[in-house]
Amino acid sequence: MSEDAPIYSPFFGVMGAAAAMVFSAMGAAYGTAKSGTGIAAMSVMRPELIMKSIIPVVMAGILAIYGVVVAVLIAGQLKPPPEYTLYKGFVHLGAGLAVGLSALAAGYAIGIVGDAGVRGTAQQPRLFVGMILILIFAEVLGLYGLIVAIYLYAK
Amino acid sequence: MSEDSMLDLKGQTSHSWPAQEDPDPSVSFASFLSVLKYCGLIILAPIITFFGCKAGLGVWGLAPADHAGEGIAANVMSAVAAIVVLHLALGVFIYKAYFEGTPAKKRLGKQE
Repeated sequence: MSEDAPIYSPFFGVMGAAAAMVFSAMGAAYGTAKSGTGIAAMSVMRPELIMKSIIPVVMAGILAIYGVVVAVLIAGQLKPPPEYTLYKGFVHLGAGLAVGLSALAAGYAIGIVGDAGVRGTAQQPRLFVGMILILIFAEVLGLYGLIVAIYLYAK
Repeated sequence: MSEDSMLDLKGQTSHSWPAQEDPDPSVSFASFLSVLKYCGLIILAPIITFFGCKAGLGVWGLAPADHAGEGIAANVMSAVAAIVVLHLALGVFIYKAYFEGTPAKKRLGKQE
């Protein structure tokens, strides 16, 4: 075991893959649950708006796909220590945290916006376009994390 | 949470929107199928694209060679393709949702 590739160097890569998946799933779960309560309350009065009100749930689910993509990319590069250097482990940990925490933040925003948005859309349909725009801006936060993660991964 | 408290969440009472049975099961089933179709597309399309591109680029050698020869370039191209497909599917879903709400609302209004 050299100093550049100690026995624990894959630990950081594995933690990066786990962080990418776990944190993005937390964000997606919060976004789905929070906007789901709004959909449930709104659908009692306006059941015909189900298709429109599902959009926050779909956008929250997309965050988990970001995490899956980065986790699979990192997991595909994991190797036993002599080939897998400590530098690679750090880079992969950073990539996983970048996408995971960004998706967590995006999911938090999507949940709050989705909850209030679908309730408001039921009363004022013109709010729908505004809600979509705000959701896209929240979703882009997760996309930024994905871009940084892929850039780090390609180092 | 009782039904009344759910109805009163935003100041609307059960008098303005009384709880009612589904007037036309085929309409709600068609809506369900539509949502299911688009959600399946959004979930499956990027995954299929990612692994399909990864396998295809590796087999056909279309990805540019990288320094370590570990297929990083093919992986990155596959990830980008998957994200592009994902957002295209999301865009189609939003487009469909935006233009689907109005006819359903009119249809409901005619029945009342």
